[in-house]
Amino acid sequence: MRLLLVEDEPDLLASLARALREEGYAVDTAGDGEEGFYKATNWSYDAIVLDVTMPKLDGWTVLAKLRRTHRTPVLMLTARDRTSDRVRGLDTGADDYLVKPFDLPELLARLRAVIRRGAGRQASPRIELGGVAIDTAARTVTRGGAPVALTAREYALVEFLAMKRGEVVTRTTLYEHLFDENDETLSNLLDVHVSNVRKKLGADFIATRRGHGYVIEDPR
Amino acid sequence: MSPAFHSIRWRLQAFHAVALTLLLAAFSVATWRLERTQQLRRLDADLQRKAQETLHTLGPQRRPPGGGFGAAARNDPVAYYFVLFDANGRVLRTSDRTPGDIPPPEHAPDPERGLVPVRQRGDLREAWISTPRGDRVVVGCSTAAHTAALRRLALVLAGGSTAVLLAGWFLGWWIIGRALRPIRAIGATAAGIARGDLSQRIPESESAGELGQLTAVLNATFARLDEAFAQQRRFTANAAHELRTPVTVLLTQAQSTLTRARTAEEYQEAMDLVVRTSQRMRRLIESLLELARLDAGQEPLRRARIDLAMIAAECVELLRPLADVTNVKIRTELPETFCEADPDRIAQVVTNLVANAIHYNRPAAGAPGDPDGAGGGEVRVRLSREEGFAVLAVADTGIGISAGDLPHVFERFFRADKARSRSADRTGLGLAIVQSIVEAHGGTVAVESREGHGSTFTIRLPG
Repeated sequence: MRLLLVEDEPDLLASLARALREEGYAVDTAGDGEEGFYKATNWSYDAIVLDVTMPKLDGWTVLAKLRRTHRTPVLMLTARDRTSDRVRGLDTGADDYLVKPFDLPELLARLRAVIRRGAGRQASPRIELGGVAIDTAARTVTRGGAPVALTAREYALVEFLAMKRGEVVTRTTLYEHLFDENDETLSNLLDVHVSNVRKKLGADFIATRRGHGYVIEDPR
Repeated sequence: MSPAFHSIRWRLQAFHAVALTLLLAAFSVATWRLERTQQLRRLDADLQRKAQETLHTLGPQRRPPGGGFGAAARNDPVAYYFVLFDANGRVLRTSDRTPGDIPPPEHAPDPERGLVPVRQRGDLREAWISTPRGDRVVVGCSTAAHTAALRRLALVLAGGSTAVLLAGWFLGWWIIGRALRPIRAIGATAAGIARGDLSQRIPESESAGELGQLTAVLNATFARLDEAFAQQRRFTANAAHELRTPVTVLLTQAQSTLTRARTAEEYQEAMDLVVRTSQRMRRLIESLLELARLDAGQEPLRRARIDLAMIAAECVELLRPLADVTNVKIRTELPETFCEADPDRIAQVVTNLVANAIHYNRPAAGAPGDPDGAGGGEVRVRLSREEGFAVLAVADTGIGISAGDLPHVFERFFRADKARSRSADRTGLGLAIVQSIVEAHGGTVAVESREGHGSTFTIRLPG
């Protein structure tokens, strides 16, 4: 999953970006509303974490402008906690609203929920695919009940394809959603990850559609 | 209605009623007395004329006179009678219908002298004239009708006065009520404000003239109160808001660091951030408390005779290491300049201004944002005197302040909307504190700036 983090406080931006990357997300950052809006409309993200009080373009404005064209899930972060601000945030189109200072585990959980809802089909955090079970809350994968050790990137790949199960996902899309602006894009890096996942979860866990992309079949 | 209001209205009304009553009473009495005096005068003049006529007509022959005397009724106001007495008081002649028992008058003065005496006996008024021989003619008439007329007049006056009085009282009551209505409005509004609703204002339409002035003054006061409370609320909200951000940084960093085992280096970095952020909060808290103290006037300024040059020089020395980091040169022009001020507070002012000048200056040579590689900005600190004021100017060659931001620069928590403003070191309160302290000394602070070229802050202290 690729996230955009828009926050003007540099220390917080750095801390949060690091924490999110450690959770396995690919994270792009923006230090003000203008940059945030630019990135949000030029790349496709699985979710955006958006601060409200920022120079140049504040969070409300970014959200309102974004919502004209994009349905990207947005979680708003703010130091303003009046009910009217929460209502405004949610009415303007935010999917969730967290007040600073927040509890980090809560932020991560709400982010997962927002992404899950954005993907459309998930009611529960668990995805069952034949013998493989993916727990998106715990970020663990089991095969036949036994836990499988995956690297952060491998898990991200599995989770992304699993959330879009039944759909063929192009390589480009996979690159866009698994790597952030800080990663070097080597075109065979993806293949390496796919190959590793196949080794761990079965050769036909991820199917290749030549010329189109990859897909995890929907067992139903 | 409060008792106070009641008594003003009642007192006004009572005063008005008493005054009106007294005036009307005086008027009525005066009018009545005037009328009575006129009446008597007329009557007396008539009687005297008649007496003269009778005397001449009777003359030596003692013949009865003509007109005016006759068979008219006794109570006819123009029914006159006469009696002629001789020198010894014997009745010589009388007219018809003369009432009986008319005593002879006392000896009267010479008619040539012009005075004709008059006497009143009960209902009858008589005048007399004597002849040189000693004969006296008494002419009289009844005053019953006159008395009745006067009584009628008295009744009319009393009745009229009462009517006017009543009308006056009611009119007065109504007018006073209307005039005092704005005071009720004021009272109601003040009560609303005392309850806590500072948005209320006295309706202007209610009052004109003196009460209008009072209304305007009170409304202005309420507006200032409202604004003062609003400002305080804003300040408190802003302060809490400002503290949320560093706390978020601390919490996020700490929670994130604890999610897994870290290397010693990573822990070190994390702790560094914790320290930095905590220091930032500490500075913020101190600035907030300082402002709160200044606002409340809780700590009166020490007034001492200080040399600004010495204070400025000390502050500059303390800040030199900071300037060296970004290659900023500090030049000073500090002639001995005395004034009456609080040395610690003024030191704070100078420190804030010079620190700002260093911070918002051109970046060091070669650093990002140094377009021509010239690097190293300059800060000039200059003291001078101008007509009773000590003047301190701190100029920098920094990024300047835009025209749009310039009027807000001293506002609390205001940070100009620039890329570098979101730095962990700035509280946004430095200039607000400067302004607060300088104004507490009775001085002024002003700023001039050109975006991209630099800014100059000038403070003027009296003495």
